[in-house]
Amino acid sequence: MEDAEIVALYWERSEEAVAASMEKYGGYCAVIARNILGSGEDAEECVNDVWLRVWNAIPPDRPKKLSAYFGVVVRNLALDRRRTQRTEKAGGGAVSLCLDELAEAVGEEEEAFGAVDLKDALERFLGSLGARPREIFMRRYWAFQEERDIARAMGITAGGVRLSLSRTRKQLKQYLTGEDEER
Amino acid sequence: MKANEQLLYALGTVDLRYMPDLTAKERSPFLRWAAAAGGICAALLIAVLAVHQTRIGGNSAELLTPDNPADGVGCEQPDTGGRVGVETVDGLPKITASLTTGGMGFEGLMAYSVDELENGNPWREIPSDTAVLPVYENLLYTDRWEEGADYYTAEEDMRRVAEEAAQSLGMEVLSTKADTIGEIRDTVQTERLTSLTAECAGETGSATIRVSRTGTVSAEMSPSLPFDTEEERTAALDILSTFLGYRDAVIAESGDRDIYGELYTTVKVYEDSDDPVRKLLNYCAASSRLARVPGEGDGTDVHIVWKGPGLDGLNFLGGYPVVSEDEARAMLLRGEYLTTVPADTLPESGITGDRIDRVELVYRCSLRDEYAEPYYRFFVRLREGFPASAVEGLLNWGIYYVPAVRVEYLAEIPVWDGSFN
Repeated sequence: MEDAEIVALYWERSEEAVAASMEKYGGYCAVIARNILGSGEDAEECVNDVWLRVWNAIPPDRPKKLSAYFGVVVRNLALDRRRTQRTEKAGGGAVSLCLDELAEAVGEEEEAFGAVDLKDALERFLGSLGARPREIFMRRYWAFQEERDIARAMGITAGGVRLSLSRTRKQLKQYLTGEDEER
Repeated sequence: MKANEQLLYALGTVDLRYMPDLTAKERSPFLRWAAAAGGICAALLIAVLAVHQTRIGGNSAELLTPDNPADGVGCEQPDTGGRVGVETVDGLPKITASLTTGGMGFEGLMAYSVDELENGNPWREIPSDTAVLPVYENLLYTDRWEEGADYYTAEEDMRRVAEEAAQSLGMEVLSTKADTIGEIRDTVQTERLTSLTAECAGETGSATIRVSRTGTVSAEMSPSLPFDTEEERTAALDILSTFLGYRDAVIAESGDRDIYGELYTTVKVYEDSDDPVRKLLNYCAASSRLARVPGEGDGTDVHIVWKGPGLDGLNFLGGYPVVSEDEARAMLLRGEYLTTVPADTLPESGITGDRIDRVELVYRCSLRDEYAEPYYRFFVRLREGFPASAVEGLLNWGIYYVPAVRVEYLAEIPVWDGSFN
């Protein structure tokens, strides 16, 4: 079923929308949830929450690209679940690794960004990146994919992924430092 | 919340256009290749065909051979695949031309000059007065392409393919591991077999072989194979020849640059052929990809090699009348094209003849293409200074496709409206 049809079903408040979403994006959401939570049980519960969350959000939302939309919802739910539980089950370590890597760029100071509009700053930074480094960066820190999985998905070497991530983190650091200076 | 945690959460709030499309299998070079390319390993072929024919109900690909050339011989009885109600013209089923992408970007290539975009496409070997080209039904086509093709679904099939692949490299399988992901269907969570990883070793080294559900077989070699000089390339292809299944391999290199001007090159290998159309098909739909890493010194080594189902998933439909390059160029200028390139990346004058810097003939046959059919692929120079973030001197070419099959044989031609998702 096409995305537009699924969205139309949500707007019609038809429960078929949920069934169609599960069929089309169930596996996709489960992968993202498992990248963050590791445990199959936690991931399953998280994915189950996704359908309700989306049911309550559409309408009024009318997403054009459901894969990205579901991706955002499951990612946020999984991160919230992880933060609440504060557990480090198998696989949950992927988030810790990503946090360590990002600490290279922004440190671990509490509430370091204050009133900075991080969303806006990040969008401008991402917009300045080339398509390839941006995709690598987002696969790693948005979807929490391992370097070797990114490499396999994009047809490049894991070393190339590592190099790109390192370079982008440095650029992010410079970018955010510049942002600070501007303020 | 710590700064790094704030950043991680904030990434989840950015505009959807920045999200990586994890379902976009064709967008990445590897996945585009994985869906469309690959060699037919002689040792593997029998097993592959057996598995595949079981899945698709016994259909096998009828391919061009010297006895079944592209000039229309052997095209008198097109195979409509048993589909009832298929509209035909001159006995040929009407086909569709479409461009389905899952990516959130567009197909464009950056370089300092168009010469850098040379890619080894052998299409010029086809006589320019060729009036008929073969078209195939893509048996791996799926409207659920985000899940990939179900080429291998049983672990024992994957294991057998892995063992044969190891044998072709002079190795034996030491251990295997099935890789699965969770999947929810009809509210039931199940584990879906996605690939099988085999650790292999032999006298000359070791390899990690992966057999994926989509039909791709890869070998990650250790030690990697030097691949710079002519001698090194010959030696590497000798080692890989049985794995790839090529008697006479042709190397095709291509490259493009990122906005920083850094060059990214791709190396693929395909089987040579005396038949120029078959050679083009081999290049487009049955090539294997070599991933390289820095080797010792300044050189590069082949580290991973991928091959896909190749031509096995194509079912011959018939020889279709095609337009010439000049006719296709005129169609492009009239706006009769398919593209993912946003309209606002062109100058106000739109596509003009002086901006068409390169053309080639290709067969597109990814999981999203219902038919493997020829297209003219035009490289149109986009407006200067786009994107603004690119280093000075870089130029950007957008890719525009014009169906080569004459329009009367096409059921529909959805034309891109220039919008950008």
